[in-house]
Amino acid sequence: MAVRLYFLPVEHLTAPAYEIPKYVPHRHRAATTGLEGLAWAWVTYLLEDVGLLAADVTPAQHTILNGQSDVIAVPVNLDTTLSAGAVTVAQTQLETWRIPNAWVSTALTYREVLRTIYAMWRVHNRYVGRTEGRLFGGTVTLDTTLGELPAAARQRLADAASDFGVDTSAATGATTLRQALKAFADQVADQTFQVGTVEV
Amino acid sequence: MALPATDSFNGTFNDTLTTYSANWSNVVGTIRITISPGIRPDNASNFSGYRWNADTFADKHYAKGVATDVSPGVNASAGVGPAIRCQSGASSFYYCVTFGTGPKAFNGECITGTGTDWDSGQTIAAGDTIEIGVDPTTATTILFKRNGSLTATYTSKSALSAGSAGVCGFDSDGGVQMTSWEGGDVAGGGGGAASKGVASMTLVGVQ
Repeated sequence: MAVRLYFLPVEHLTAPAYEIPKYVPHRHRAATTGLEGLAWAWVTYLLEDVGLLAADVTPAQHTILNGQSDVIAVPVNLDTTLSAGAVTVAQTQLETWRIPNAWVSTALTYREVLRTIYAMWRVHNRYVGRTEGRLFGGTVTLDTTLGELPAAARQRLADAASDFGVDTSAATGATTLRQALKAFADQVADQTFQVGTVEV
Repeated sequence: MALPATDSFNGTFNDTLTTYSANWSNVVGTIRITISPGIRPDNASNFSGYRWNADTFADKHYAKGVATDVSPGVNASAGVGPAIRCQSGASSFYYCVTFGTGPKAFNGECITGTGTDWDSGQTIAAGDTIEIGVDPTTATTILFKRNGSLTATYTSKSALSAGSAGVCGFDSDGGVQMTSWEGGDVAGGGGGAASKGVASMTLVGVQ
Protein backbone atom coordinates (compact mmCIF):
# COMPACT_ATOMS: atom_id res chain seq x y z
CA MET A 1 0.00 0.00 0.00
CA ALA A 2 1.11 3.56 -0.65
CA VAL A 3 -0.64 6.88 -0.20
CA ARG A 4 -0.62 8.60 -3.57
CA LEU A 5 -2.05 11.75 -5.07
CA TYR A 6 -4.13 11.84 -8.21
CA PHE A 7 -5.70 14.62 -10.22
CA LEU A 8 -8.99 13.20 -11.33
CA PRO A 9 -12.24 14.46 -12.80
CA VAL A 10 -15.19 15.65 -10.76
CA GLU A 11 -18.55 14.19 -11.67
CA HIS A 12 -21.31 16.77 -11.33
CA LEU A 13 -24.39 14.92 -10.17
CA THR A 14 -27.67 16.76 -10.52
CA ALA A 15 -30.03 14.48 -8.57
CA PRO A 16 -28.76 14.83 -5.95
CA ALA A 17 -26.72 17.96 -6.60
CA TYR A 18 -23.31 16.63 -5.67
CA GLU A 19 -19.68 16.95 -6.70
CA ILE A 20 -18.03 13.54 -6.48
CA PRO A 21 -14.66 12.09 -7.53
CA LYS A 22 -14.77 9.91 -10.63
CA TYR A 23 -13.90 6.22 -10.31
CA VAL A 24 -13.53 5.95 -6.50
CA PRO A 25 -16.39 4.84 -4.23
CA HIS A 26 -18.93 7.42 -3.20
CA ARG A 27 -22.21 7.04 -1.35
CA HIS A 28 -24.06 8.36 -4.36
CA ARG A 29 -22.32 6.23 -6.98
CA ALA A 30 -20.62 2.84 -7.06
CA ALA A 31 -16.87 2.61 -7.61
CA THR A 32 -15.10 1.39 -10.69
CA THR A 33 -14.47 -2.34 -10.41
CA GLY A 34 -11.40 -2.97 -8.31
CA LEU A 35 -11.67 0.27 -6.35
CA GLU A 36 -14.52 -0.75 -4.04
CA GLY A 37 -13.92 0.20 -0.43
CA LEU A 38 -11.04 2.53 -1.23
CA ALA A 39 -10.78 5.29 1.41
CA TRP A 40 -9.91 8.71 0.08
CA ALA A 41 -9.77 12.39 0.83
CA TRP A 42 -9.62 15.25 -1.61
CA VAL A 43 -9.62 18.94 -2.30
CA THR A 44 -11.37 20.40 -5.30
CA TYR A 45 -11.39 23.34 -7.67
CA LEU A 46 -14.82 24.16 -6.33
CA LEU A 47 -17.69 23.62 -8.79
CA GLU A 48 -15.13 23.04 -11.57
CA ASP A 49 -14.03 19.77 -13.14
CA VAL A 50 -11.01 18.56 -11.18
CA GLY A 51 -9.94 17.52 -7.72
CA LEU A 52 -6.69 16.41 -6.08
CA LEU A 53 -7.33 13.11 -4.35
CA ALA A 54 -5.23 11.19 -1.84
CA ALA A 55 -5.75 7.47 -1.41
CA ASP A 56 -3.86 4.62 0.18
CA VAL A 57 -3.80 2.30 -2.82
CA THR A 58 -2.57 -1.17 -3.54
CA PRO A 59 -0.45 -1.65 -6.68
CA ALA A 60 -3.51 -3.06 -8.42
CA GLN A 61 -5.65 -0.07 -7.45
CA HIS A 62 -2.93 2.30 -8.60
CA THR A 63 -2.81 0.51 -11.94
CA ILE A 64 -6.56 1.00 -12.33
CA LEU A 65 -6.45 4.71 -11.52
CA ASN A 66 -3.27 5.39 -13.45
CA GLY A 67 -4.75 3.62 -16.44
CA GLN A 68 -7.57 6.13 -16.82
CA SER A 69 -6.91 8.63 -19.57
CA ASP A 70 -8.34 11.52 -17.56
CA VAL A 71 -6.39 10.80 -14.36
CA ILE A 72 -2.94 12.16 -13.62
CA ALA A 73 -1.00 10.20 -11.01
CA VAL A 74 1.45 12.38 -9.13
CA PRO A 75 4.80 10.70 -8.37
CA VAL A 76 5.33 9.65 -4.77
CA ASN A 77 8.52 11.71 -4.64
CA LEU A 78 7.18 15.25 -4.91
CA ASP A 79 10.65 16.76 -4.97
CA THR A 80 11.56 15.52 -8.42
CA THR A 81 11.33 17.94 -11.30
CA LEU A 82 8.87 17.48 -14.11
CA SER A 83 10.07 15.89 -17.31
CA ALA A 84 9.38 17.60 -20.62
CA GLY A 85 6.66 15.06 -21.26
CA ALA A 86 5.08 15.69 -17.89
CA VAL A 87 5.10 19.42 -18.55
CA THR A 88 3.20 18.87 -21.79
CA VAL A 89 0.63 16.67 -20.05
CA ALA A 90 0.25 19.12 -17.17
CA GLN A 91 -0.13 22.16 -19.39
CA THR A 92 -2.71 20.44 -21.56
CA GLN A 93 -4.76 19.22 -18.63
CA LEU A 94 -4.54 22.45 -16.66
CA GLU A 95 -5.93 24.39 -19.59
CA THR A 96 -8.77 21.89 -19.89
CA TRP A 97 -9.51 22.35 -16.21
CA ARG A 98 -9.49 26.17 -16.49
CA ILE A 99 -6.27 26.53 -14.53
CA PRO A 100 -3.52 28.84 -15.80
CA ASN A 101 -0.82 26.61 -17.29
CA ALA A 102 2.00 28.45 -19.06
CA TRP A 103 4.13 28.72 -15.95
CA VAL A 104 4.66 24.95 -15.61
CA SER A 105 8.21 24.02 -16.61
CA THR A 106 10.92 21.41 -16.20
CA ALA A 107 12.58 23.70 -13.66
CA LEU A 108 9.82 23.07 -11.15
CA THR A 109 9.29 20.18 -8.78
CA TYR A 110 5.94 18.48 -8.42
CA ARG A 111 5.68 19.99 -4.95
CA GLU A 112 6.13 23.51 -6.33
CA VAL A 113 3.57 22.89 -9.04
CA LEU A 114 1.03 21.47 -6.60
CA ARG A 115 1.45 24.35 -4.18
CA THR A 116 0.89 26.90 -6.91
CA ILE A 117 -2.16 25.09 -8.24
CA TYR A 118 -3.64 24.80 -4.79
CA ALA A 119 -2.94 28.45 -4.04
CA MET A 120 -5.02 29.32 -7.12
CA TRP A 121 -7.78 26.99 -5.96
CA ARG A 122 -7.80 28.58 -2.53
CA VAL A 123 -8.52 32.06 -3.86
CA HIS A 124 -10.91 30.71 -6.49
CA ASN A 125 -12.85 28.68 -3.95
CA ARG A 126 -13.31 31.66 -1.64
CA TYR A 127 -14.66 33.59 -4.64
CA VAL A 128 -17.12 30.75 -5.31
CA GLY A 129 -18.23 30.78 -1.69
CA ARG A 130 -18.67 34.54 -1.69
CA THR A 131 -20.47 34.55 -5.02
CA GLU A 132 -22.61 31.46 -4.60
CA GLY A 133 -21.66 30.38 -8.06
CA ARG A 134 -18.92 29.56 -10.52
CA LEU A 135 -16.26 32.01 -11.60
CA PHE A 136 -16.11 30.41 -15.03
CA GLY A 137 -19.82 30.18 -15.66
CA GLY A 138 -21.37 31.63 -18.84
CA THR A 139 -18.88 33.29 -21.17
CA VAL A 140 -16.13 33.76 -18.58
CA THR A 141 -12.86 32.01 -19.47
CA LEU A 142 -9.26 32.26 -18.36
CA ASP A 143 -8.80 34.93 -21.02
CA THR A 144 -11.59 37.12 -19.73
CA THR A 145 -10.16 40.36 -18.39
CA LEU A 146 -11.02 41.72 -14.99
CA GLY A 147 -12.52 44.71 -16.78
CA GLU A 148 -14.92 42.42 -18.57
CA LEU A 149 -16.27 41.00 -15.32
CA PRO A 150 -19.28 42.67 -13.73
CA ALA A 151 -18.16 45.14 -11.09
CA ALA A 152 -19.62 43.01 -8.28
CA ALA A 153 -17.75 39.92 -9.46
CA ARG A 154 -14.54 41.89 -9.80
CA GLN A 155 -14.91 43.17 -6.24
CA ARG A 156 -15.66 39.70 -4.90
CA LEU A 157 -12.53 38.33 -6.55
CA ALA A 158 -10.46 41.10 -4.99
CA ASP A 159 -12.09 40.44 -1.63
CA ALA A 160 -11.42 36.71 -1.95
CA ALA A 161 -7.74 37.37 -2.62
CA SER A 162 -7.54 39.90 0.19
CA ASP A 163 -8.95 37.32 2.59
CA PHE A 164 -5.64 35.51 2.22
CA GLY A 165 -3.50 38.60 2.53
CA VAL A 166 -2.92 38.84 -1.21
CA ASP A 167 -2.04 42.27 -2.60
CA THR A 168 -4.22 42.85 -5.65
CA SER A 169 -3.06 46.39 -6.40
CA ALA A 170 -1.10 45.38 -9.50
CA ALA A 171 -4.19 44.00 -11.22
CA THR A 172 -5.84 46.26 -13.78
CA GLY A 173 -8.89 46.07 -15.99
CA ALA A 174 -6.70 44.56 -18.71
CA THR A 175 -5.44 41.75 -16.48
CA THR A 176 -6.85 38.42 -17.55
CA LEU A 177 -8.14 35.86 -15.08
CA ARG A 178 -5.27 33.67 -16.26
CA GLN A 179 -2.80 36.33 -15.14
CA ALA A 180 -4.69 37.33 -12.00
CA LEU A 181 -5.09 33.84 -10.57
CA LYS A 182 -1.41 33.08 -11.11
CA ALA A 183 -0.28 36.45 -9.70
CA PHE A 184 -2.48 36.00 -6.64
CA ALA A 185 -1.27 32.43 -6.15
CA ASP A 186 2.38 33.42 -6.39
CA GLN A 187 1.96 35.44 -3.20
CA VAL A 188 0.82 32.45 -1.13
CA ALA A 189 2.29 29.52 -3.05
CA ASP A 190 5.09 29.06 -0.54
CA GLN A 191 2.58 27.68 1.94
CA THR A 192 2.42 23.97 2.56
CA PHE A 193 -0.73 21.93 2.58
CA GLN A 194 -1.76 18.33 3.04
CA VAL A 195 -4.17 16.02 1.29
CA GLY A 196 -4.83 12.95 3.35
CA THR A 197 -1.51 12.12 4.94
CA VAL A 198 0.51 13.59 2.09
CA GLU A 199 2.18 16.88 2.95
CA VAL A 200 2.74 19.06 -0.08
CA MET B 1 -29.21 35.01 24.18
CA ALA B 2 -25.86 33.79 25.37
CA LEU B 3 -23.67 31.22 23.73
CA PRO B 4 -23.55 28.32 23.63
CA ALA B 5 -27.03 28.09 22.18
CA THR B 6 -28.90 24.84 22.75
CA ASP B 7 -32.05 23.24 21.43
CA SER B 8 -33.65 19.87 22.17
CA PHE B 9 -36.26 20.31 19.42
CA ASN B 10 -39.14 19.52 21.77
CA GLY B 11 -41.95 20.81 19.60
CA THR B 12 -44.99 19.87 17.62
CA PHE B 13 -44.53 16.80 15.45
CA ASN B 14 -43.84 17.58 11.81
CA ASP B 15 -43.55 21.34 12.22
CA THR B 16 -40.78 22.87 10.15
CA LEU B 17 -37.93 24.29 12.17
CA THR B 18 -38.98 27.87 11.45
CA THR B 19 -42.55 27.14 12.55
CA TYR B 20 -41.23 25.47 15.68
CA SER B 21 -39.01 28.38 16.71
CA ALA B 22 -38.20 31.90 15.60
CA ASN B 23 -34.59 31.21 16.60
CA TRP B 24 -34.07 29.32 13.36
CA SER B 25 -33.81 30.71 9.84
CA ASN B 26 -34.08 28.58 6.76
CA VAL B 27 -31.00 28.27 4.58
CA VAL B 28 -32.25 25.66 2.13
CA GLY B 29 -34.74 22.78 2.02
CA THR B 30 -36.82 21.64 4.97
CA ILE B 31 -36.13 20.07 8.37
CA ARG B 32 -38.99 18.96 10.60
CA ILE B 33 -39.62 18.17 14.25
CA THR B 34 -39.89 14.47 15.13
CA ILE B 35 -41.83 12.79 17.93
CA SER B 36 -38.89 11.71 20.10
CA PRO B 37 -38.11 14.80 20.15
CA GLY B 38 -35.58 15.70 17.51
CA ILE B 39 -35.29 16.77 13.90
CA ARG B 40 -35.36 14.95 10.57
CA PRO B 41 -34.60 15.94 6.98
CA ASP B 42 -37.33 16.54 4.40
CA ASN B 43 -35.96 17.58 1.04
CA ALA B 44 -35.92 14.71 -1.44
CA SER B 45 -32.41 13.98 -2.75
CA ASN B 46 -31.10 17.36 -1.71
CA PHE B 47 -29.65 19.25 1.22
CA SER B 48 -31.55 21.10 3.89
CA GLY B 49 -30.10 23.61 6.31
CA TYR B 50 -31.13 26.06 9.02
CA ARG B 51 -29.05 28.56 10.93
CA TRP B 52 -29.43 29.71 14.52
CA ASN B 53 -30.34 33.40 14.29
CA ALA B 54 -30.69 34.37 17.96
CA ASP B 55 -26.98 34.89 18.50
CA THR B 56 -24.01 36.20 16.59
CA PHE B 57 -21.22 33.69 16.21
CA ALA B 58 -17.50 34.32 15.94
CA ASP B 59 -15.80 33.15 12.75
CA LYS B 60 -14.52 30.22 14.79
CA HIS B 61 -17.60 28.39 15.96
CA TYR B 62 -18.90 24.85 16.29
CA ALA B 63 -22.13 22.88 16.23
CA LYS B 64 -22.90 19.45 17.59
CA GLY B 65 -25.80 17.14 18.31
CA VAL B 66 -26.70 13.61 19.27
CA ALA B 67 -27.37 11.40 16.27
CA THR B 68 -30.06 9.38 17.97
CA ASP B 69 -31.09 7.46 14.84
CA VAL B 70 -28.86 6.99 11.80
CA SER B 71 -30.70 4.25 9.89
CA PRO B 72 -33.07 5.63 7.26
CA GLY B 73 -36.47 4.02 7.03
CA VAL B 74 -37.11 4.64 3.35
CA ASN B 75 -34.44 6.68 1.60
CA ALA B 76 -31.01 5.14 2.05
CA SER B 77 -29.11 8.36 1.48
CA ALA B 78 -30.97 10.35 4.14
CA GLY B 79 -29.12 11.86 7.08
CA VAL B 80 -29.08 14.75 9.51
CA GLY B 81 -26.50 16.55 11.61
CA PRO B 82 -24.91 19.80 12.74
CA ALA B 83 -23.65 22.52 10.41
CA ILE B 84 -21.39 25.55 10.66
CA ARG B 85 -20.66 28.68 8.63
CA CYS B 86 -24.32 28.73 7.61
CA GLN B 87 -24.65 31.81 5.45
CA SER B 88 -27.47 34.32 5.67
CA GLY B 89 -29.31 34.75 2.40
CA ALA B 90 -27.38 31.96 0.71
CA SER B 91 -27.74 28.20 0.61
CA SER B 92 -24.18 27.48 1.72
CA PHE B 93 -22.67 25.86 4.81
CA TYR B 94 -20.22 23.24 6.01
CA TYR B 95 -22.06 20.07 6.91
CA CYS B 96 -21.70 16.99 9.06
CA VAL B 97 -24.45 14.65 7.95
CA THR B 98 -25.12 11.06 8.95
CA PHE B 99 -25.33 8.17 6.50
CA GLY B 100 -26.92 4.85 7.37
CA THR B 101 -24.47 2.50 5.67
CA GLY B 102 -21.52 2.12 7.98
CA PRO B 103 -22.94 4.11 9.62
CA LYS B 104 -20.83 7.14 8.87
CA ALA B 105 -20.75 10.88 9.15
CA PHE B 106 -19.85 12.79 6.03
CA ASN B 107 -18.26 16.18 6.39
CA GLY B 108 -18.14 18.59 3.51
CA GLU B 109 -19.29 21.82 1.97
CA CYS B 110 -22.69 22.69 0.54
CA ILE B 111 -22.20 25.61 -1.81
CA THR B 112 -25.38 27.09 -3.26
CA GLY B 113 -27.07 23.78 -2.58
CA THR B 114 -24.43 21.56 -4.19
CA GLY B 115 -22.61 19.18 -1.86
CA THR B 116 -19.00 18.02 -1.86
CA ASP B 117 -17.89 15.46 0.72
CA TRP B 118 -14.33 16.05 1.89
CA ASP B 119 -13.53 12.36 2.28
CA SER B 120 -15.00 8.88 2.20
CA GLY B 121 -16.65 9.29 5.60
CA GLN B 122 -16.03 8.90 9.31
CA THR B 123 -17.35 5.92 11.26
CA ILE B 124 -20.05 6.69 13.84
CA ALA B 125 -22.76 4.83 15.74
CA ALA B 126 -26.32 5.67 16.71
CA GLY B 127 -26.33 7.73 19.87
CA ASP B 128 -23.00 9.40 19.15
CA THR B 129 -22.49 13.10 19.62
CA ILE B 130 -21.17 14.37 16.31
CA GLU B 131 -19.51 17.76 16.10
CA ILE B 132 -18.13 19.96 13.37
CA GLY B 133 -16.21 23.08 14.28
CA VAL B 134 -13.52 25.51 13.33
CA ASP B 135 -10.01 24.98 14.67
CA PRO B 136 -9.18 27.41 17.51
CA THR B 137 -6.08 28.75 15.80
CA THR B 138 -6.67 28.43 12.06
CA ALA B 139 -9.97 29.64 10.65
CA THR B 140 -9.70 27.52 7.51
CA THR B 141 -9.15 24.28 9.40
CA ILE B 142 -12.33 22.35 10.18
CA LEU B 143 -12.46 19.65 12.84
CA PHE B 144 -14.77 16.67 13.21
CA LYS B 145 -15.25 15.15 16.64
CA ARG B 146 -17.05 11.95 17.59
CA ASN B 147 -18.15 11.93 21.23
CA GLY B 148 -15.70 14.72 21.94
CA SER B 149 -12.68 13.01 20.39
CA LEU B 150 -11.01 14.51 17.35
CA THR B 151 -11.47 12.12 14.45
CA ALA B 152 -10.74 14.13 11.33
CA THR B 153 -9.06 17.41 10.44
CA TYR B 154 -9.73 19.22 7.19
CA THR B 155 -7.56 22.18 6.41
CA SER B 156 -7.50 24.97 3.87
CA LYS B 157 -11.27 24.96 3.66
CA SER B 158 -11.44 28.41 2.20
CA ALA B 159 -14.86 28.73 0.53
CA LEU B 160 -16.85 30.04 3.49
CA SER B 161 -16.12 32.38 6.36
CA ALA B 162 -18.20 33.77 9.25
CA GLY B 163 -21.85 32.64 9.27
CA SER B 164 -23.72 30.83 12.01
CA ALA B 165 -23.95 27.44 13.65
CA GLY B 166 -26.89 25.40 12.48
CA VAL B 167 -28.30 22.08 11.45
CA CYS B 168 -28.39 20.24 8.17
CA GLY B 169 -30.01 17.26 6.55
CA PHE B 170 -29.94 15.34 3.33
CA ASP B 171 -32.83 13.73 1.48
CA SER B 172 -36.12 12.98 3.25
CA ASP B 173 -36.73 10.37 5.90
CA GLY B 174 -38.37 9.90 9.29
CA GLY B 175 -35.95 7.19 10.38
CA VAL B 176 -32.97 9.45 10.98
CA GLN B 177 -32.93 12.09 13.62
CA MET B 178 -30.76 14.30 15.78
CA THR B 179 -31.44 15.95 19.10
CA SER B 180 -29.59 17.87 21.85
CA TRP B 181 -28.13 20.43 19.45
CA GLU B 182 -25.57 22.93 20.66
CA GLY B 183 -23.82 25.75 18.85
CA GLY B 184 -21.22 28.12 20.17
CA ASP B 185 -17.94 29.88 19.70
CA VAL B 186 -14.75 27.88 19.88
CA ALA B 187 -12.90 28.44 23.14
CA GLY B 188 -9.88 30.58 22.46
CA GLY B 189 -11.01 31.06 18.91
CA GLY B 190 -12.01 34.67 19.21
CA GLY B 191 -13.42 36.38 16.19
CA GLY B 192 -11.74 38.22 13.43
CA ALA B 193 -11.34 37.74 9.75
CA ALA B 194 -10.61 34.27 8.60
CA SER B 195 -7.79 32.72 6.82
CA LYS B 196 -4.96 35.18 6.41
CA GLY B 197 -1.63 33.47 6.26
CA VAL B 198 -2.92 29.94 6.03
CA ALA B 199 0.17 27.90 6.64
CA SER B 200 -0.93 24.36 6.13
CA MET B 201 -3.70 22.03 5.18
CA THR B 202 -4.28 18.74 6.92
CA LEU B 203 -6.97 16.47 5.64
CA VAL B 204 -6.99 13.27 7.60
CA GLY B 205 -9.80 11.61 5.76
CA VAL B 206 -7.78 8.77 4.35
CA GLN B 207 -8.11 5.90 6.76
